Amino acid sequence: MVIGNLYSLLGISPNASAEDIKIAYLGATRRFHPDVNKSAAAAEEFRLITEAHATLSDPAQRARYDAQFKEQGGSALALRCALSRGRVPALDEPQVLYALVEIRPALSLGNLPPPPVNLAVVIDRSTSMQGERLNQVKEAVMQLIDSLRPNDTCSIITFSDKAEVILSAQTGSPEQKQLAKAKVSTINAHGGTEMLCGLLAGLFELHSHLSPSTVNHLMLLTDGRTYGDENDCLLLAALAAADGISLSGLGIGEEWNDKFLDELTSLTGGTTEYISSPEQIHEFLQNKVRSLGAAFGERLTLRVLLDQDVQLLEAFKISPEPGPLETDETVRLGSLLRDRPLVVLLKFRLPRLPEGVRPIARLALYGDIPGLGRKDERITYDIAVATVANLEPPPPPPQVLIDALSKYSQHKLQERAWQQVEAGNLAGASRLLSTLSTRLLASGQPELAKVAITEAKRLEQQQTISEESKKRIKYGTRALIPLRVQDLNLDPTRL
Amino acid sequence: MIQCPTCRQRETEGELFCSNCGAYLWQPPGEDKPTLGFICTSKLRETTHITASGPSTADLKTGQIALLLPGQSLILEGKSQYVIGREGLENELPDVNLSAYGGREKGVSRKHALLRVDRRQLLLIDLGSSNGTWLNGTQLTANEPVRLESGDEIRLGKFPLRIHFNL
Repeated sequence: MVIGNLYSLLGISPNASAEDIKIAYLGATRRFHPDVNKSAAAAEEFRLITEAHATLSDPAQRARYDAQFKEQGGSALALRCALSRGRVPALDEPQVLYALVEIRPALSLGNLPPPPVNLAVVIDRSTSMQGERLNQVKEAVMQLIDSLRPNDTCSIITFSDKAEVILSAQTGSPEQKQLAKAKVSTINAHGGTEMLCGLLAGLFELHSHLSPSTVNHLMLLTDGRTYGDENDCLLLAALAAADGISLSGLGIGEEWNDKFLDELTSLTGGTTEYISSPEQIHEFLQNKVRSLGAAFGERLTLRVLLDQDVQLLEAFKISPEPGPLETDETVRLGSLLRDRPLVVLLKFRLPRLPEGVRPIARLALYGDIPGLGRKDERITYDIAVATVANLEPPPPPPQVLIDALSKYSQHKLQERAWQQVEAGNLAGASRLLSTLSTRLLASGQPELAKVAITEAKRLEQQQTISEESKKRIKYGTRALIPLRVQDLNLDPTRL
Repeated sequence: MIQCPTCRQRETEGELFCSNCGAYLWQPPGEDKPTLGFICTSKLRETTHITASGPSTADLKTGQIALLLPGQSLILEGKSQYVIGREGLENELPDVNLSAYGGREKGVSRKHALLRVDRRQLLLIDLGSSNGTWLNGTQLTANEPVRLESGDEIRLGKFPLRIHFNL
């Protein structure tokens, strides 16, 4: 089966000559031959390249492929990249290279309706949710039910020590909606927090309507920690991701385990958000439902094929919803919206480089476009740098990359501070937080700066931190990271 | 390895922001102009008196702040806070840019201090500057706001100024 643009697999343009194809094929096989590159993804890439070459080197097959690809309207996804530097000095030491990857729809869906949503809302109803929190959740969920379109599917699950399906997966007629809301109003708080049973029940409901032409999503609302079943939850999330389901999390208050929830959701390409007061639940749910309904691409996966001795150190989703990503070969990115690009920051470690142009990594982006009935759409982008012996005054890094990195580095400062706390270096942590406070103040964030400086002082004087402030700083600095659409002006010549 | 000009942290070549202090690290070669450091002698600690004349509190409209620099005065209005500093290599300029008045030579940091209007009060905050901020001869602790009175004398490194305001 033909997937996407065969020319990009070989790193050439569609008007390449037969000779170009041959040269490109030899170059590509040298990069991904199992003898050179031992990773499993490289073996798969090698196979695809060989197949692409077989098609493109035969004039009759090539003509047929060209006609077919043209008829499809070309690639549905577009990817471009801004590098911290396109030329690097030849050094006897490792270097880091940043790549800001921007993914956009390449085709217009026109007036096609957005794909239906298959949604499960999993609500923590442990004792600590009692009162204002649960009331706000119930109210917000009832409004969510009202905002569902006729072809959307929704299920509602509560969990404490055990899970309870309040509403099994169904599409909503007005009568059914009334009934669903009545059921939601009866939810009461009781018991502990065992997340695994809630997730299992939610995924079970999603599976009953699972389809590649829908947006399959599980929303988890919690205010507590789950104990003992974290690893099983993570395993379940990985399985869900493989089935094309994404997870998002909402942490309420200060008790919940942010590290765990971040990991859980990022395994599926989703993100976790934090709210300090229950009134914000409503806004979170509405935003979430709106963005699920505005999806262009689903189950986006970025495969990062590293060239020899290159390492991927960090991966972070910058926009639209910021959050950490796995640095595995397969990076799950979640959905692509119609109107907002998906932006990812990658940090590579380059080995010692000799002079000349050298490929660093191949980015292979996969995704489904439910609105167009396309599955496993693929595009390819090769990152390469030129190594020069004498680097003349280099051009400054692209402004968009500086913007993204300056906010990201603020976020990293607080991460470093908590690492120092864990390592027992409280003075170091306090110093980092006070530095962060200064940075925040200078970038026009006096409120967050105040929280950071208060925590710095608390660490210094009482040798302790407040969990609430920690989360406010973590998710507060994270929320500053997304780039505004108008700032995303990546150099089109690098398209 | 490269070294952060602000905090001396060592980073891998190609890194763009310091992991220890968040400073922007990219600089075109040969144009490294870090903030000048001064050895703090007793003479320096004395308040540098300003002989400059400029608008007094009575001349200012409500909401205006006047910075009296040697031989020059600047009127600030319309914002709730102002970063005072000098030009750096970052594209970001402070609200009050002292480069043209010899700020760098007098040890003013890129983001040296912050003036903040808070309920008709004016606060001064040192932003962790290299050479410190003095109010009427006393050095401020970094990141701790102090309240200003109209007519106060401020020193940023070796850069003296007087402040008048009508809030």
